[in-house]
Amino acid sequence: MSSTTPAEVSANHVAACQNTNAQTGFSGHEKIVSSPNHVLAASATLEAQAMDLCVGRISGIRSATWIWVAVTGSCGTSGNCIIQLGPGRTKDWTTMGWWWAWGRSPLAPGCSGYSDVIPVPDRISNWNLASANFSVNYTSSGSVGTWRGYVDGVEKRNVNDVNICWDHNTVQWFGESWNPGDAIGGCLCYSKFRLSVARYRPTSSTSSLSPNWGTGGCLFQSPRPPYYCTRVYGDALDIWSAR
Amino acid sequence: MVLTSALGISVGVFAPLSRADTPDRRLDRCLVGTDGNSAAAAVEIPAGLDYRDILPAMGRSPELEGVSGAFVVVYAGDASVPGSGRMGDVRRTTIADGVCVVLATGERIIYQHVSRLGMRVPSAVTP
Repeated sequence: MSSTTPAEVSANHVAACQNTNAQTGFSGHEKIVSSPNHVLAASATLEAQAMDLCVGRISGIRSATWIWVAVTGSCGTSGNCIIQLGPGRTKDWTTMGWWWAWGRSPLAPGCSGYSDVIPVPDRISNWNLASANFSVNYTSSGSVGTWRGYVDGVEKRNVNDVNICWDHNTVQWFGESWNPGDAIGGCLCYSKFRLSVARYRPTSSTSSLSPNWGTGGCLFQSPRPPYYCTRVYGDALDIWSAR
Repeated sequence: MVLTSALGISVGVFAPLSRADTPDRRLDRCLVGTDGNSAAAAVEIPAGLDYRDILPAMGRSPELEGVSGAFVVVYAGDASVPGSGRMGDVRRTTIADGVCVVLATGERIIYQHVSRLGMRVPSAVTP
């Protein structure tokens, strides 16, 4: 990864920059909670967004864009260990909506003998493009633990903790885009997504904590360093796929 | 075509079908007919725990063990499945030995690397 300072983009999230080469990639930030602590919650608030239609609707080619809050952790060589919730769209669902996925890998410590679940995003409801808080939270009732996905305090999906054999020690806030020609935000001109009030909760705390990122330049991330970057402002982050 | 297995389970067996040929929404949920995916076999099991009967070598799957019923698709060959996952890890576009399960709630779970050893889902029947 490298870090440079990009030109600032105004708060309406749209700038004039043609991009047709973003391709599949992702960008964001994470917070790893040191053992023996674990992560019990991840959340953020998404600013109101006015997004254009996706231009990557090419037959036979995947086109999708999401912004995720996720609880994840050690997974061996697999990337499947995750519980994730966020807004997005695909070439088959061009209206913006909320999506959810969870996964598991027998390669993860603690998961030997389990089946291998691919975190395939599933659309769960529409998104009216208004500002929203979204989160993944662990709750328990007696001996039964459940991971729940919320949008503005309304539970959308859940998965029983008995299915999550992997060590949940990391929070990630990130954007993901899959196609050749689309961008996070789903438009030919580039857009940035802004998340604010990012929070996470380790087992050692009874309240949510800020990741306290400070202020940084554009952090490019592989595998597409020319395009994907994230810039942080305290507990907020802007995500581009088409810098 | 609908069969009844030796287990008394209602079994449907499907040759590769297009989306238009497939009135069952659960096949759509499993992306059958999408991106070249096809079902070698599909079976409806009355209890999620029955996955152990039809795919006895499948890894432990507690998410299926407490549910009242499920629709199971065994993909024919590799399947194109759009997986997400952790930031920083390579996204896959193709999975081997894939199985898709749609629960009665509508929730869809897609597995990879599911051993076919001892599989008891008929796969050689042509509709």
